Amino acid sequence: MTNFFRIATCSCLFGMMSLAGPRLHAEGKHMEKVRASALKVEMIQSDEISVPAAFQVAIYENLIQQLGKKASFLHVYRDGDRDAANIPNLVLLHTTVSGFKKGSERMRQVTTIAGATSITIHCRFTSVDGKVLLEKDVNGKVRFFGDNLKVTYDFAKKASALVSDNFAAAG
Amino acid sequence: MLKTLSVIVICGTAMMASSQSAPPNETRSSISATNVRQQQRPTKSTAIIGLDGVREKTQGTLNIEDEKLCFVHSESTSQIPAAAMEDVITGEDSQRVIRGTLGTLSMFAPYESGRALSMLRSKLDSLTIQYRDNDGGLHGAVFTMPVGTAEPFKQELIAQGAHTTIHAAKNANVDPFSQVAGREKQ
Repeated sequence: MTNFFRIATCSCLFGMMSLAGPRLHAEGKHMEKVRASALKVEMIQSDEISVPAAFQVAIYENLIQQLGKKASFLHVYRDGDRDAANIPNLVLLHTTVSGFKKGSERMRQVTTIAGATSITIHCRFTSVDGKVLLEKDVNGKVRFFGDNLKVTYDFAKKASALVSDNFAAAG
Repeated sequence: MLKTLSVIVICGTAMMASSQSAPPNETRSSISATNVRQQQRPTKSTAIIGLDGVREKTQGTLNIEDEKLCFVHSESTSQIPAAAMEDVITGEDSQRVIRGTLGTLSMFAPYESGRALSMLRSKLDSLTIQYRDNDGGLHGAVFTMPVGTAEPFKQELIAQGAHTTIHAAKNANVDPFSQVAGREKQ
């Protein structure tokens, strides 16, 4: 009889935790989105950490491509684009490389588990007047297949998902 | 039977790779500032990313015409004016000798010979360009090309009005792939 109560109590606790987890997660996600009409992507900065130029350019281009796909409600402007000057509710995306580990494609293909390439980029979304709207570190990884530049694609996908989760079309 | 077949495949590919990845010494040594003009002829290249209207990893031909960098591929041409280039940087990279569908299929080769095949890689040069469009928007493009062809392209583009943040003379003894953009702003 005692065992029955123990099992019943454990089952109830387990059930409550299972139900509460996703709900709490959903509440956390249900934050109010920032209203914006356009996003201007600044060039990647890597003052402290050495990143090959090809990676910098690939990150920038992949980011613009992925934002065009996943955050299509925002008009995406490039760094220096004069057309963005008078856009209301413009959000600026500043990206700074905070971690980079260049792996080896050969090592990945030979060992499967070693040679991963990873990059961590600090993404800071600000308004035109400099007010910080959102700050987060986003990382990109290539573990098993693909060349090292694929890490930039992985980062861009995650960063654009971050934008679509936290921003909404203004008006 | 399978063992013999695998050994034959590996040996054959190794020979092919060594012939591709190690260009003759005279080819390497002949590349200098003096023969930049010779390199204006079209060079086979792959546009990795960044060219408008061109899919990623598109193969084509790269050349310089009328102060513009032209990438010709399947009956269409993409052009970047040299004067609009803010930064031209060369680097080194490598790629699998056997790639694409055949490279993927080689993973299923017997006795893990696919892994051995992926060790065979050929060297190549990369050319990274940052340029501005008519609205001032910053673009970037990355090309790969045969070993020894990127630096003459860079020099020719600089001669025709392009800018660079890293000069070849300053970095003669530095691994070009580790060159970092923006270090030495002009």
